[in-house]
Amino acid sequence: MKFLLLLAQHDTDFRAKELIAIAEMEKIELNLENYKEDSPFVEVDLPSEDEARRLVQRSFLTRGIYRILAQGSSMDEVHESNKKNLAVYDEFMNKSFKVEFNCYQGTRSKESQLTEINNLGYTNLNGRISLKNPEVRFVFLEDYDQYNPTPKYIWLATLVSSTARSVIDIYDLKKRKHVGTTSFEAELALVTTNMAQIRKGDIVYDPFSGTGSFPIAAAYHGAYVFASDIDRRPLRNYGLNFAQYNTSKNFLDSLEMDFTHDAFQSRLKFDAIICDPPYGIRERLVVCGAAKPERFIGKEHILVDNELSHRRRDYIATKKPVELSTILQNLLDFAATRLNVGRRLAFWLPVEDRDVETTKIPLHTDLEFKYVSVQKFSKWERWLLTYEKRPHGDKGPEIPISLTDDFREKYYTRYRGQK
Amino acid sequence: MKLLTTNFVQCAVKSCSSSSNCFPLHFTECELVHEDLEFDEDFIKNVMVKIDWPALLSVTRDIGNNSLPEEKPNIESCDEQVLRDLHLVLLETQIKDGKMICKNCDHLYHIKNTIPNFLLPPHLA
Ligand SMILES: C[S@@+](CC[C@H](N)C(=O)[O-])C[C@H]1O[C@@H](n2cnc3c(N)ncnc32)[C@H](O)[C@@H]1O
Ligand SMILES: [Zn+2]
Repeated sequence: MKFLLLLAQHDTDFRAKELIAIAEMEKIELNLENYKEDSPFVEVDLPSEDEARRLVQRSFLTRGIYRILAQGSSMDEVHESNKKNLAVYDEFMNKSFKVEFNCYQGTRSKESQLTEINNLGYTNLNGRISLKNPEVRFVFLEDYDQYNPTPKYIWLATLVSSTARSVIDIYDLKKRKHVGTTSFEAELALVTTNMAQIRKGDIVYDPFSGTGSFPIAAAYHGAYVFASDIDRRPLRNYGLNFAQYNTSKNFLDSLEMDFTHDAFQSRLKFDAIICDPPYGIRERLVVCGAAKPERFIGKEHILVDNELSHRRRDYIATKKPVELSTILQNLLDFAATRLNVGRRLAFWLPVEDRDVETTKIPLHTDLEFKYVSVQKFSKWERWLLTYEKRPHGDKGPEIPISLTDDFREKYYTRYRGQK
Repeated sequence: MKLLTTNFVQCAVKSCSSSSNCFPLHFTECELVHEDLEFDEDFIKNVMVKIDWPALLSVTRDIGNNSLPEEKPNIESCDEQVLRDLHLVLLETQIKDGKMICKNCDHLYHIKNTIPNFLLPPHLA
């Protein structure tokens, strides 16, 4: 069966990969050879409407999937092709329906729309017209070149399924109770959960959770989440957000913890690890320990009110700066041993002056690199890297982390200097 | 911190990780709170497979709860009430304030306002 995918026309580098990730988890064979970066339309072949539905139901960057009835480079061609295929209308014959237009980079006047709708008379549809709640939605999808009044291509199709796009608005940071400077935009946090193939009942971990943007997104799918951060402050109101989205049961715990000295037992395996590691710009990039150890010699014996100071409830652990590459290497090593086989790590990285085509993506022998997607800003980029835990004994190549050491420095000399 | 979590955390000091004494931690002076949470049978069954029962018994005894049986219930054959009881113990019972001590190195960790603090002082990091 031929279907038409209608995609969002932004963050384009994430759209195909999101669909591929979903197709893999739903075991749907998906061929995206017709996919174009600069178009929201993709024709795909799928066995049935069931696969079509499962492909888009949890997609955040797809607007809808349509079953193609007729198509062509002009309205005449569409009607011509439609007339050759009238048998398909049998199943819609007595259903209530509605006809809509969806024009990309163009518009069609109300009068012209009505003409085309009336032109469909030959289909002999008997059902009642229902504008509010039709059983079948027929849609003319029209692809225009900008500033050209006539479309270059038209499909006539029925809507098979809407997508999870409406969820983005519900999770919008502007409406969220507990946010901070590090909160991650809802749309791409949700997309991250698809790259990581997070599903109901999974146990998911965000080791740099801050205000919880990723755990909250994972809970949307019904996953159960652990979160930790070296900074206690953002963790304090964590529960509020889960309560707001009715996912309180999915929030297991948030821990004040240095990821490089984590307390999780290695027998606890995660179904996904998703995060936005610290870059040292909006937040501190630190681990437990003393920057000047000589100053701390003997301090473990200090008594306050007859109590060793580091055992007191109000003790504040000293922290020292660390390289981002050390944190990232820790993250890959951790994922390699703590993920269940076949499950995923997805994390974000800020990058500057790098070409994704020529950059050596870091590799861990026990993790298969799946994809990198690039979000572009005017002066820098943010990459989302996705890996999958290999089966035991299956070893791949190793490439140490090298692509980020200088990001923080560059950022500071360049942008701070300008201010 | 939920009792579920106590079953998956050990002393964060690296040199303790090879010792069998670093888990479970010893809990003292704990103030408990109860939070009503929706019961999810599939999740409880799934998580029970992962639970180290003797470790859970050790922690529940530490906090003065002796309601759990000596033997780990067989979740495939038990009735729903048993699962609901486990839901109550593992997920709804939370430590609001308290102390956790490593039985290997004797380091003391605090739980403050339900958030456990596993940060280490310089001499242990
Ligand atoms: C980019 S922010 C992530 C923000 C998060 N996605 C949110 O929704 O707010 C990185 C976080 O890592 C934390 N962090 C820095 N060093 C850490 C460490 N060694 N272990 C754990 N967390 C750390 C910071 O406190 C910060 O909250
Ligand atoms: Zn210890």
